[in-house]
Formats: sequence, structure tokens, C-alpha cells
Amino acid sequence: MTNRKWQLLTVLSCLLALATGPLLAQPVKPLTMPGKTALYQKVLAVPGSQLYSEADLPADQAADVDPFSIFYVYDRQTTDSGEWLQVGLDSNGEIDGWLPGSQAIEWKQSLTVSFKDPAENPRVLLFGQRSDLMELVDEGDAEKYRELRATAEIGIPANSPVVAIQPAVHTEIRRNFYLVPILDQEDILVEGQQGRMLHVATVPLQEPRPALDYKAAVVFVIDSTVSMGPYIEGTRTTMERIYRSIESANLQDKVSFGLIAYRDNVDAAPGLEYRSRLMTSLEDGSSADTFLANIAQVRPATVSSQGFNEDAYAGVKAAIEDMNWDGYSARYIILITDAGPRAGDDPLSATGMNADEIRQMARANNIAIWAMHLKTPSGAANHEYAAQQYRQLSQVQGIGDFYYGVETGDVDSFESSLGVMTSQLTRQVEDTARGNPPMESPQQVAAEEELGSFQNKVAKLGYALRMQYIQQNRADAIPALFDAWLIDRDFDNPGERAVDVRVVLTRDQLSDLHEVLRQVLYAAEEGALAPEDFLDDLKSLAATISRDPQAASGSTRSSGGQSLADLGYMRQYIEDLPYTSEVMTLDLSTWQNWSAQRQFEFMNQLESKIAYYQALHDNVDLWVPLDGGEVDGDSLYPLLLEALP
Amino acid sequence: MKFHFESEGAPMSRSSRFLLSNSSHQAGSTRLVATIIIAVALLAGAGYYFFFRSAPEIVEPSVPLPPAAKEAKPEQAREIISQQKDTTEVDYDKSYQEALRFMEDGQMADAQLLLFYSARAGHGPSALVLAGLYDPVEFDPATSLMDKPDAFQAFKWYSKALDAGQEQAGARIDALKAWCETAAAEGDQQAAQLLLQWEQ
Repeated sequence: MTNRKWQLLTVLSCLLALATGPLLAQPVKPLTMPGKTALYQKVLAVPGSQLYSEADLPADQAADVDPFSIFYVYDRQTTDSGEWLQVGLDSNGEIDGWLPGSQAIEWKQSLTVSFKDPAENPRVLLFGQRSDLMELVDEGDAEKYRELRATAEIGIPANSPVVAIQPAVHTEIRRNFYLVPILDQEDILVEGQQGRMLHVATVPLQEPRPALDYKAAVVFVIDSTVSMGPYIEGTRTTMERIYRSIESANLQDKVSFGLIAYRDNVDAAPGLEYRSRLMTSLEDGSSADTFLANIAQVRPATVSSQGFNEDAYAGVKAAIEDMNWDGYSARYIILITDAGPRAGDDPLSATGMNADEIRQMARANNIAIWAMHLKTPSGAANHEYAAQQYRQLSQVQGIGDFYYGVETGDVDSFESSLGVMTSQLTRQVEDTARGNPPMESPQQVAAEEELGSFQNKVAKLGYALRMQYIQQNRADAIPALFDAWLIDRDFDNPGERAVDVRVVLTRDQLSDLHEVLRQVLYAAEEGALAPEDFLDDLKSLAATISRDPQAASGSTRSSGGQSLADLGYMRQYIEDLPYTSEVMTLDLSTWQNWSAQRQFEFMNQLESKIAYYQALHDNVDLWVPLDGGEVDGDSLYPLLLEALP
Repeated sequence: MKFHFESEGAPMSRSSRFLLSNSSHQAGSTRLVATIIIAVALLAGAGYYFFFRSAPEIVEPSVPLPPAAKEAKPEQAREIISQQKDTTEVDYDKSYQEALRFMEDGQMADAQLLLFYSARAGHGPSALVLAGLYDPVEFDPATSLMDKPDAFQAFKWYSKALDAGQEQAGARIDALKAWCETAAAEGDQQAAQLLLQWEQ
């Protein structure tokens, strides 16, 4: 080959590389549903699912998956052990691993149930067999339904056709996303009203068996520097009360308390005596006498440390490492201090760790950290720094931080707040011991806003721990996912929906829907002013949309009619849903003959949807990121079916 | 059929312009007096124009519409719009005046389309009147083209009116928001959705 030919080949290969480079860089996309061009396959992970880096690996190489995690499916393989799905939490090509097909639910329509507030509506019953519920519906046996509900509200007997009842405490789905996936649905008549029977997948909220082994451990990490005397004494007083209530509830063997006192770097201030000291172990702390005697030994330091910050992280780290947490399902550290911590880069820090590192260390041991910050006037200049550090330290994913600031360091306020928090913890233990179902909201909320908010978070954390405990303690180690049937109408008020059906859309899908409708609205407005061109304009616009990259989202319906759906405006992610789209199915062929009133009604309806979608899209707080990170195009929102166009 | 009109003033009367064009032929003190009169007339005219142009009262039909009026097609309005589109500079004041005339005649379909046409182009007085036709606070289905009020449309057009300098739209928006809060608490979905938009 001549030099000239080599040169030519080199140039060609460079050009080829340039030409194919962007193609090679294209991210892998999930598999699409059969018959769809851009509607991705999605599955839900059943409780107890595990994710593998490769198909067919042994179980000890798998990672646990949160129940009902929503995954995009990138590949399917069948091996000797069955079907495996390659999955990712987003649609941008980021693969998380392989999920056994037996641990995934195909979730074709992305529909979910949202419950209404039980304070204002009767609670919904979930039946184990479709036939049992259908029989009630066919016979219109409202009395029987009421009886079953009255019984279920107290406790579901083993022989009841009811397998679950809507939780007594309301959770607003727009603020706290939950999933009761709808697998199938059918139209029914309830007392003459059109309704739906919904086939859902769910997990039991009630304990599978009496939870005798659920135990909680609380370790106090108390700053014992010069200024802390009143708070150490306040903690002792509070704990006296708490121990009395534990004894009266006969929970001594279910909850234990530990105690770590900490100060600061003793090299910098030798008179401090210690940096951190274990005062009461969890083994000893189930005894009130031991704990109270030991806390009485904690005296505030007689010399000052260097600067305002103390080595709080040394105390927390000691609590994590030096306590024996084995056997406790709920694990808490309560840090009590009036000063900021020494950060990892502080030369006087013993740990060299920052807030995030300490938090991760606690998390790896399933320990939640709370921080009670006594905002005394003398430390005013340090408050902002300390609060920021402790908020970071006490962050719990999906719930928020467990930081509580006691204004002015008021001792009475500190004691009462600590009492409220600790009582709530012991009540959770008591509820578990008594077999009461976990609740995501506290039974009583303090009037003081910050404390009330803290209690709500404690309830959520307790709920999560209880659910985790339930899953870990089932006989087969995997909580049974069960099918259930419910109706979206109540016999007592069949004219109103008892539950809402929502479609879980991604932010990108809502954005696409918004854009399509916006263009249709523009065409309709022009068509109202000069109607003769309206249909042609719509057809041209449909062609433009189909040339657009979003064309992949276009409907697979056959064309030929004169509705928006027929013209190609229907989107795949809504076309098979169990609702009739008024906007999409309206026959526009006689637009020219419509009255002005009808044209305005059509446009107004369209515009109100567009504005609503825009507001939803822009309200970032409403969106749930699948991977727990930033809100992006794959984040989810459960949109009411009625809010679709 | 009679409607309330409290903003019938044209921008400037033809007689004023006529007086102006002839005043230059007067002489001496007569010219001075005439000039003062003209100036006062001009100021009054301009004030009248400014006041009513920037802040027309909400026009509300007061007599029930016959059912046929609700089903009407706005052919006359479309003809006016078609003619206006052919001109180099669209006169939205003129469309507005025509809309008011249609309202007076009970031709609500023509009136609403013309108001929509000019309000969409940013004409404040048209937007203010159009908003009033949708406003649930004072909606009367018997006198409106629409069968139901529409809080979102009312909000949208009041906002446009406010942007175009119609300051009284601000108070209307406040009243509308109060209405929405009550309605949303009673379960009105559209009111709840509109409140969500207010939160933005």
C-alpha cells in the first residue's frame, strides 16, 4: 500500500470516527413495551428483592433492594435459574444490576392507588380474593361491608375475607409518596354508580406475628464541659420519669439506655480529664438504678476547653464503637450539647472525621443520630455553625434531619422536649410489643411547631424501623407480597370515590404532554379567530411533532379520524389508561360549525390543564427522584387520572 | 336589551379635533381665548381618555341572554378580525369598542371573541372586561356566554390586564384568590389547582 493510500485511510478512519463518535456515545435505552416505540418497560421490586451485578450469581453477592423500587428494564436473559432482568433506576443508561424475574412485578400502566383522609372518609377494605369482593358488590351487601370494616378496624380475624384495611393515619401522597401498584382493574357498578374494582399488590402493615424481640437502644452522648451542669441534671430528671413509665408498661427488657460523656482535647486543656468516657453500657442501662446512679456521676468540667467548639464527634464515635448494639432493632444516639463540634480538619479533633463521615458510620450500624442543641446566649456566635453541622450529622435519607434547637438554652424547655422525644420512642417499643400496627404519624403532636415537626420525623423513622424489622423477622426472611382487591367506591357513599387512581408519570412525560397541548392550544386559538384553516393547521402541526425527537413518544393508534388522538397527538404513556380523554377523543371535524361557547370551552379546558402541568413541573418539591438524588426528568409524580387531558 | 356601560368615552372626540384644526385661523385675543379653551378641552379630553382607557369599570351584562345567543357563531366578529388582519397596524381599541357594542346588543359570542382577540394581543381594557366574564365571584350564567365561571381564565385575563396597566385588576385578583381558597377547601379541584399555581 502506498503512503498516499495510508494517508487516505487514516483520514477516512478519522472521519469515520468523527461520524460514529456521537453514535457510540449514545446512552443505552431501556427496552420498550411490546407494540410501543418509546414507552419503556418498568418493573417493581417485590419486598425482599436482591440485586446482582450479574445474572446467576450466588445470593451472598447480592444487595438488598427497597420494596417497590421502580426499575427500568434494559435487558432480559433466561438462564437455568429462570428469567433475569437487567435494570436501572433511570432511563439514561445507568445500569444498577440484575434482578431475578421472580422478584419483579411487571408494572405496565404505572397506575397506583392513593387513599383519602380516613378522618373524613370510611376506611377502604382490601380483600384476599376477587370473588369475595365481587359477591358483595353483586349483591349490594352494604351491611356486610360495614360489618367487615368495623371488625377490621379492631383487628382482622384469621377467617375474614378481608386481608388488610387502609391505615388509620392519613398520608398525603403528594407530600409523602407511597405506592400501592394497580396490576389490573375492571369496571363495576356499586349501588348503581360506575366504579372500578382494582387488583393491587401490597404488603401487610400488621406484624406477621407478635414482635417479642423488637428492642430499642438509646445512647445519650452528653457534653460534660463547664456550662452543661443544668442540662446533665435535666437529663437525669427526665430519665427518672422515663424509667418509671417503662416499668409501668413492663418494657424493661425491651428498651435500654446508654451514656457517654464527652469534653474536648485533653492535650490542649489537661484539666478536662477525658475526651470521651463510657458512663453506662447498654447492658447496664436497662436498669434504672444503674443508669441514674451513673448519670449522677457525670459532673461538668471545672476547666474550660480551648475555643467554643467541643469534640462532639469523638463522643458520637465512641457511642457507635464502644457500645454493644447487638440485638437492638431500633438504635438511637441522642447528642446533647451547647457547643459546635470540632470538624474533621480541626487540629484538635480526635477523629479527623466530618459530619458526613460520622453519619455514614452510624448509618452502617443502623443507628440514627439526633442532636439537641442548647442555644445558650453565650454561644450565639457559634449557633449557626453548630446547627449546620448537627443538621448534617443527623440527616436520615428520605426523612430529613433530626436536629432540635432549644432556644436560649432554656432548661425547662429542654427537659420537656427531651421527655416528649424519649416517651415517643418508648411508645413505639410498646406499640410493637402489643402488636399495634406501625404508624407514620405520631398519636399526639406537641403544640410547639419545631417539636411537632420533630415528632413527625420520629414517627416516620420509627415506622421505617418497624417495617424493616417486620421484613427481617418473617419466617422466610421475605415479607409476603400479596394480591388484594378493593373497590374505588364505598357502599355508604357510592357517588364519591373512596380512593383515587393515579398514573405515575415522569417529569419528562409531563413536560412532553405540556408541550404538545400548548401547541394544540395555539392552533385552537387561531382556529377560533379564523376557523377555516383549523384542521389543516392541526394536521401540519401533528406532522411537525412527528418529525420532532419526541415523535418517539407518539401514539401507536391508527390515524384517519378527526380527533386529536386520531391526528397523532395521543401519547403512548396515556393511551391505554383506563380513562376516556375528553380532549383527545373530541371530534374536531365540525370545528367550523361549533358555537363560540363550545370553542371557548374546549380551549379553556385545554389551557387549564397546560397551566396545571406547568405548575406541577415547576414545583420541584412534588417530584420523587427514583435514585434519591436530584429531581430530574425521570423523577415521578402520581397524577390523578382525571387531571389527564 | 340593556347593559351597564360606564366607560363609553372615546379617546378623543371628533369635535375636539375639528376645533383644533380651525383655531389657527383666529386672531389676537380671540386666538388667545380660543387657545386656552382648546388647551383646557384637550387636557380634559386627554384626562378623560387616559382615565377610562387605563381603568374601565368591569362591564357586566344585566339581562339574561336568550338561549340562541349562547349557541351563536361569532361571524361578525370574525369579519372584523379578518379586516383588521389585513391592515398594517391592528387597532385593538377599535376591536374593544366593537366588543362593547356587541355586548350592548346582546351578541355575546361576537363580543367575547373580539375581547379575546384584542386581550390576547395585550390590550388591557379588553383583558379586564374578558376576565370579568369568567370571574366566579360575580358570575351569572344567565347573562354570560359561558355556562360556568372559570377561575383560571379570570385569573389569566386579570393578570394580563394588570400587566397592561389596569390597576383595578389587582383588587379583582385578590378577591378571586379569596374565592379560590374557600372553594378549594370545599373540594373544588380547579380552585385547588389554581392555588398551586399561586404558590409558584
